[in-house]
Amino acid sequence: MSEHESHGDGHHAHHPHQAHHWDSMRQQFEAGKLGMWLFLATEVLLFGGLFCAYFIYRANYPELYEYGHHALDKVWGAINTVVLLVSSLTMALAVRASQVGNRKQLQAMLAITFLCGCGFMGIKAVEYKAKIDHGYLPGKLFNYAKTIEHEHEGHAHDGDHHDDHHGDGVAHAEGVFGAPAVSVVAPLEQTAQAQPAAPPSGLSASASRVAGDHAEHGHEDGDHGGHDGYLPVDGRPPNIHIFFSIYFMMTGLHGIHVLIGMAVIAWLLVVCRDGRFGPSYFTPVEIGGLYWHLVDLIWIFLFPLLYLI
Amino acid sequence: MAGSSITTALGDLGGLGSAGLAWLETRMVGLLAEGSIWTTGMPAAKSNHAGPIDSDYAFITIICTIFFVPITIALVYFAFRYKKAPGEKAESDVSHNTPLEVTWTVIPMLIVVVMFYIGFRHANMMYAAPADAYTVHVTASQWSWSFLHPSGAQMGGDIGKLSPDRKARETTDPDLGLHLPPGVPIRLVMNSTDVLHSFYIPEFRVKQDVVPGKTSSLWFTPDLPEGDEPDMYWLLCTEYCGKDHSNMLSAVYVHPTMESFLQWQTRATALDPDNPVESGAKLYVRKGCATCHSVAPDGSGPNTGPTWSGLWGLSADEHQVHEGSPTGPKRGVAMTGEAGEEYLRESIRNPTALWREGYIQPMAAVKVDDTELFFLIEYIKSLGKQ
Amino acid sequence: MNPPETAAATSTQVAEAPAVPNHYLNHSKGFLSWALTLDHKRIGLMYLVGVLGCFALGGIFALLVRTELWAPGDTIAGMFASPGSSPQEVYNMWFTVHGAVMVFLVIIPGVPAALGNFVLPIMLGAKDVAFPRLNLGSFYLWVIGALFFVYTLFNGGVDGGWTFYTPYSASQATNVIPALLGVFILGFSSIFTGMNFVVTIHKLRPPGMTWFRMPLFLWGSYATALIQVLATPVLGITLLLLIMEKTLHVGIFSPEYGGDPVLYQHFFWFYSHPAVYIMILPAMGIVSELISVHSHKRPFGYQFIAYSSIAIAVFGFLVWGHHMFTSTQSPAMNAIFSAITFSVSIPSAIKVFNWLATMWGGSIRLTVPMLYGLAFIFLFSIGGLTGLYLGTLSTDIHFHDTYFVVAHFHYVMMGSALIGMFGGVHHWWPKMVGRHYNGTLARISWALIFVGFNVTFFTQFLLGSQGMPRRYYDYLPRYEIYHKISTVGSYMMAAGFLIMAFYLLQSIFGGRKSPANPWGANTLEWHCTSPPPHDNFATAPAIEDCYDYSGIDYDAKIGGYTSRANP
Repeated sequence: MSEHESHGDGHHAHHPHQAHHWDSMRQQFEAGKLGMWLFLATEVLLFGGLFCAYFIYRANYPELYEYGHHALDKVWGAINTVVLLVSSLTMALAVRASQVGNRKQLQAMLAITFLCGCGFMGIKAVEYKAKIDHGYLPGKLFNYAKTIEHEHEGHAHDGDHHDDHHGDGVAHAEGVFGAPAVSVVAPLEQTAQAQPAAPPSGLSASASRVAGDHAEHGHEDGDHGGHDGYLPVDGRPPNIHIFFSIYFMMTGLHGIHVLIGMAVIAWLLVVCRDGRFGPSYFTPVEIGGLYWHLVDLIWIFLFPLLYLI
Repeated sequence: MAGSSITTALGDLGGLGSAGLAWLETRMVGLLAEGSIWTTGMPAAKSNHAGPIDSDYAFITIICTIFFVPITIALVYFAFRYKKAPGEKAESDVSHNTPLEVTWTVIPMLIVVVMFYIGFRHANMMYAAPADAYTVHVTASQWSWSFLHPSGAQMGGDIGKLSPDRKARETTDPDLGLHLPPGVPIRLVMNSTDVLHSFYIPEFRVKQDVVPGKTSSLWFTPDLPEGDEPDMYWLLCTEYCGKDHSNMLSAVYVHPTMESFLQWQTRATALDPDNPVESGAKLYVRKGCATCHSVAPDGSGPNTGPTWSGLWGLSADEHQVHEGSPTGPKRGVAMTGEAGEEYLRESIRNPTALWREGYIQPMAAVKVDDTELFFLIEYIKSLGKQ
Repeated sequence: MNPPETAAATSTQVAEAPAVPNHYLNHSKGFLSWALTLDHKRIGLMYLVGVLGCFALGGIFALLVRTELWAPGDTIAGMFASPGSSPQEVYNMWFTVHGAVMVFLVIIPGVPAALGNFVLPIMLGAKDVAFPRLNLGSFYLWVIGALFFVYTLFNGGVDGGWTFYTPYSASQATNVIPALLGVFILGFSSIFTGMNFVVTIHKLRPPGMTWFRMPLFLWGSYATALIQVLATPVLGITLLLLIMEKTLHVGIFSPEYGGDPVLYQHFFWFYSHPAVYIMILPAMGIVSELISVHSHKRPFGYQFIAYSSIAIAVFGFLVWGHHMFTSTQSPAMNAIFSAITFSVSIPSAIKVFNWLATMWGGSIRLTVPMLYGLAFIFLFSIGGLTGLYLGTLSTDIHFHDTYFVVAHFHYVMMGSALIGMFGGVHHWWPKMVGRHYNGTLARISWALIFVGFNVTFFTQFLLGSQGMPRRYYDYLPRYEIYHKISTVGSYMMAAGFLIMAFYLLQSIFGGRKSPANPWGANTLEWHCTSPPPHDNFATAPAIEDCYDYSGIDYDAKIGGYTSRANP
């Protein structure tokens, strides 16, 4: 930019990355960091709206959460938590490496962080695919027919695998690393009659027509619906699609943030090759690290709220 | 000991405070009697809530005047008193005066505490209805009101129409609308079938949003009419609800005597089984059908829903009906068959099952018993003969 | 400090040609030098052009609305209705577009982004904002957001009111999603501007510019920027949730799918009430400058004014529930929100008293900016005092969603925020373009706007207390006379704004050249040339007491003021 050229020359020799309107690199670094903290505050508030919605609906419809969280795979969730924690450690080491000007270590740590990001998104994709296959989708995409069909499949699998491998009722599905993947629906004896699930209930009479005239089942208390990893459709609370709406919106928005963080790390990997980062200039690594830690932190809240309770 | 004496002192202070407020209130009621200069701008006061709200209004108006007039005088006076030629120095170089600033911080603070308190007290009187209140169930839909009385009498709203000279809005039928017995507290229990609406009668100073999925309520005791005729007011919708928001009105009548109210009730419930078409025509307005469906042969009038004129016996090609609702998940298959008995029955009792091409506004289910349904269908049939 | 002219010359490359002083407008040429500029002054000017253009657009819709309301029944909307639509649908789109454009495209970015960008860094003594590239990015986000609105206009309009209350907004078929996306993008523009200003004020204050030496406009802008950063993200997520509800029926705001429509109102007002202070606080900052500069007297109670800005920003976050007194909120919540709402009135009252005390004993020049300052105090007093009726629980039941509310927020949003902004435009115009506008025309225009405004909107208080609900296409004939008066007032305002457009444009080409300090101010932007040099300050400016007018003398020869300390 011509703006840069026209003033830089009049002054004493600047660091090449110091913009014209700053007096010192230190001032510039501190401003960048303050700016990033403010941005992180806005991110927290952005997610805050979703957390708020989570808690309000949890207060209004606790049965949705008690019921719905069994559809999520705690094992994959826990693995993903570890993956992100490790990436946070390597990101912190990367910042340290950039501060001391250790380019090799910086590259290695950024690369590991990036790979952890890939791993996280890969596991997320496996989890999403299972949800999509079984019809556990947000809002109007929630597929009542598929979830019922899936329950029957679970019933068929029950004889084969249930007792052999997973006494806790988690059936087998294939995951990338051969680990137990998706905890699928296993039925209870009572569901042999296979009553249809309760569709969205509300004002619209048309909605209840979608699945026939069985909307009243929402009133039955799902006393057997909330334990042991079972997701029987019998006794399923009405409006169960809201749980999956919140699950997909929270993890989806978080996933987008992971992708943005990975793009930042990839960019850092590209530009750090010229050795530009050192004790006098490491702002991009530092604020990229701050962003990554925030993404990590949000997951630390998402995991227990969605998967465990 | 010390603790208890402090509590006593606080209690005394509280007593003094409430005594002071009570004194203020009596002064206010005297000063702010209806029609005083301080309630200028408010509409006629016609319910038990109007007095307290108008006295609060007057109190705030007095406070505002006390602040606004000196501010404006100072503004204009200073602007001319201290107007000077360019370059002349200011007469004063005072930068601050802490006692003065603290004063004009604390005094408004005390005033707003009083203001909050009176508003809070009077609003609290408006929440819980007396136990003996006469309860009417109000249903709000886009864009009509419907009133269901304990007697089973149901009436649609009367949206009225602009007189030809555009100088008045005239009611269309004195039996339509919200009819209220005299001298008893009225409690309205309200539901919405679609979007947000709000129930507002300016003369009664009552307003309450009607929220779909929730039940809201309000109460008031209307003033007795002075003459022998019922008093008429307009009920207005004050929460934006779409196209005909501004036409979501209804006439409200307060009867002068119980007798007059009971006469209306008899008329409102009467249907003549020997004359099904005429009974159907009555139901057409009482059940609120008239808000959306026209019956005029030239199709003039409301057009939110299909006209009933010539509807009977339309072939499938002519009226293009589909399964599902236009906004619902299933935009469906064209139905075969003509607009006959079965189709009308389904469309009245379960209106979102079928929808007609070109009409996107879904209709709320209408509660009708079998006799009423028969009358309505007979009425539609009679409109079909061209 | 060097004389400003010399300072400008030494910092430029055309010092050898002093006949054409180098300034930010002629520093570089060509479309790209503007489109890709990182100079806060050029970005501010581009914002100003965009904001004023959108103001004209929103104003046209306001006039359409007012004309339609001339008489009950169809007046003009029927002429604009296409075969498939009805006049009331046309009218509903008019007021929706008017509200959304004025709030999101004009008032929110008006003072902070347009005037703030131009003035804030110079006033502070900085060369630029902290993140110039982010600043340009904010501007382009604003442009993209505006394009989304333009798209909805040419694609059949948008319905629902600027508040987009659910479930109506979630169920109707107009262009709600493009409009929401536009607002979402504008939100990020606003967030980035706010971040930039907070960091600029924290980190780019030159040595000597302590917090309590900052001009009051900077305090107002700082408080505004904090709200922009802390409230706007919540609007962002709310709009995303509404878009999800519309497209996927996720069951969050629509009762039809298990959601709660009142939750949307809580989310929406958690942003939009603080947003009211995004609009008014910087205007209050401008007025604090205008009153002090044109009275040539230091602001009375500087610290009270500064703290009251911060107090308003903090309290502003706690009062959103007062928009929901009749929306089935519990009585206890109503009481709490009402009580906190009254606490916001105190800092506002303090400011009014302090402005009056600033005028007392001053040396007042009734310049055009000062006239706008006086108009602001008058209109803001009415707007603020009528807020008391709406904060009081009992009276709000009667006034909620009537024209009383419409009149109240027009007094605050237009009568205060926009009049403050136009005061700022008239105050800094000679600095921005280096030329004076025609004072006589400006006074005529001011009078038309001031009188027309009161005729339009004071009438609406009467309409509202009589019970006229807002957003009505048709109305009971008993309200007709008030609507007629109000419409006449709006035409007076329109005439005033047309005159303003004329003399401002005319001044660019034929206006008298402005000296560096035409008003006798002492804040830093008046120490550099008009228009300012590209880099604001070649050498770090000496920071003095910016409200000490004792050393500022009038020089009739140049038609402006000179500083004795820095001749």
